[in-house]
Amino acid sequence: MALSRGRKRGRRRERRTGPLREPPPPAAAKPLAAWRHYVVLALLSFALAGLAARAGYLVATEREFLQDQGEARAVRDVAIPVHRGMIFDRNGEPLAVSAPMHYVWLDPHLARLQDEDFQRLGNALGLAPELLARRAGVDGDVPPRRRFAYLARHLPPATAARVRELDIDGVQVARAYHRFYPAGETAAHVVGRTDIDDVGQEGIELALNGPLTGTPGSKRVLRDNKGQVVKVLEYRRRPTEDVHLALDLRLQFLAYRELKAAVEHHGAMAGSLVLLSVATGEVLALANLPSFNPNDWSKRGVAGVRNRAVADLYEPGSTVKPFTVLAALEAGTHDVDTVIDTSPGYFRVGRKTIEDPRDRGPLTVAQVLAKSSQVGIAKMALEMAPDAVFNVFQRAGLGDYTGCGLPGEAIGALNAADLDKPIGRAVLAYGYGLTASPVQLARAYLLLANAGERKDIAVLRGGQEAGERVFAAHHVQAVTTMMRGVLEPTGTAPKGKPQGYSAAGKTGTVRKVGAAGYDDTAHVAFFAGFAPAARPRIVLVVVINQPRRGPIGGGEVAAPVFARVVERALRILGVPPNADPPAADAPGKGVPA
Amino acid sequence: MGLAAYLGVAVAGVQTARQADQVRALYQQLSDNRRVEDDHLREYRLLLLERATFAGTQSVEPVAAEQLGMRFPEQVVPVWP
Repeated sequence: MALSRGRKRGRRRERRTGPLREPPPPAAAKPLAAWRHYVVLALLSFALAGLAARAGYLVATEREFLQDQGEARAVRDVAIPVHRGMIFDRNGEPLAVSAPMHYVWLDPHLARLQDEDFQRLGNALGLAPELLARRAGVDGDVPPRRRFAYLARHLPPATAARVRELDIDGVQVARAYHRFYPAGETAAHVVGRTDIDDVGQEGIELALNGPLTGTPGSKRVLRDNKGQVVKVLEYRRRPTEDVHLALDLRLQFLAYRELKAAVEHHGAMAGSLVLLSVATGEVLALANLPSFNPNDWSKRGVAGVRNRAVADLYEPGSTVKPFTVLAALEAGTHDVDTVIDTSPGYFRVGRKTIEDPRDRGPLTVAQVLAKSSQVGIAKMALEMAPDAVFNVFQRAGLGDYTGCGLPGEAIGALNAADLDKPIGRAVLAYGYGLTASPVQLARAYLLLANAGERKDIAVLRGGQEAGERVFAAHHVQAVTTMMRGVLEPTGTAPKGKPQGYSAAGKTGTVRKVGAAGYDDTAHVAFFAGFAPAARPRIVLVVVINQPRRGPIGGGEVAAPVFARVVERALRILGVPPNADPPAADAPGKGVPA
Repeated sequence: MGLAAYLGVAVAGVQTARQADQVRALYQQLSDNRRVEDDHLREYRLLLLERATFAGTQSVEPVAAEQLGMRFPEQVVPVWP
């Protein structure tokens, strides 16, 4: 029964779908030909071998080209901005600082500026639109291959922002550094200046341009396809160095102010001042008049740029007399109390007459120095061996390179050609027939202040503590004692005595050489000295070139500058007054400043 | 053995990728820090310049003399020990 029911259902299904068919018997599987595997394998092997061969060929023959091409797509050189190092004084006061400024530029071949654009730019920059058009090469001034033109440089951030806001197509604003000199003309000759491209042109800026500039930095980086840096391959950068000068800005300002006042008061053509530290030979101040403002180079004058303290040579005149006396002490021909008869105030050496302003009669060596007697000094020189004075001058470094590190230093002249003639020896003894710069004179006096030990002059901080002995200390002490007399009322420079401090020094007044020989109407006034006399701390040389109003002598023109600068400089340096204390019956007696 | 080698290679690969990513992130951080340092240096220079301009002797003395009427004492009284 069940079976018949099942058959019925099967029939019904057959009626609906047709009779059920049996699946066909599986066809006999064709065996895959083995050679096909080998063909594919061989093809792949050939392809791989071909690739390998090609790669090998390229590596062998075109390695550099391919490397360059690869690097050109993935390796980039990125500039690292460097700013010029700063210059400081010895106390950390900035003397030269680079600060960010901006410049506006365009590619004259890509930017297509219209008149209206130049007008807007002109308003933003404060420049004439015509000037900007000319800088952009609109009138054909720009060479055809030039792809860069400055529209304006050294712009403050606010102006640069105004230009950016204009959003003129093709006009770019970029950042650069500009040099500022806070001390201005006060320290201009030592610090110097840079040009518009930040390259040192004068002073320390020129002398130490390398360390101050550093090496323009760059790094080689590997970038991915999105431009992100994946790896730094190479980093090239020599950082800039800051420079610390020996200069003390407080003393520099004081020196400059006093020198300027003296130059203006006497209507002088120029002036120089050098202030050294006795302990180290460091240049604490160096000033020249006329000067220049390194912040505003447009108003420069040729005369103002020259660093006269190192570049100008003068016959030092009577300022070398202490060295002549030193030579006499060394030679043993004279001592402090030896009397020299200067009467009748002149004497003849060959065809030349050497004369004093008046007949001073018999003078001791100390008085010869204090009164600056030409006759006395010349007579002393003629009693010594012919080369005695010359040798002392030479050892003192007169007419010799100081190596102070400031550019443009003049060497000077000291030659022995005329030593066989009495007149040559006589004039050399009182400072004619040789030339030296103010800085050389300062170095020579540094030797006296150091009791006969020579120290090098240093413009950078950190001078020479230990010196080299050149003269016997007792001879130098004797000369120093005599030099104190120059500042006494009977000496040639009572106005050079600083109040509250003892000092030693020497005046000098020389005639300038004109077209027709020595000019009796043009003089140079000197004062060189050191203080305090017993234990010197500073050496100061003052040179006033061609005073044209009032007196012309070193004792009247240069010595007062010495006094004022020494008084204030020693106070600034914290040196207690060492002048004799007031008498017991007048306690607290004021000292006029 | 083969499985261990496979796992080792896989782990090393992941670590290498991670390290590379870390290096990149650190480099980015270094670059940012250098940029900040440069900005600070720029600001420092500007402030230094400002201070030197307004507080330098050459600025202070004229102000003291002309605006405040200050002057160097006419008499100095040294105090002897």
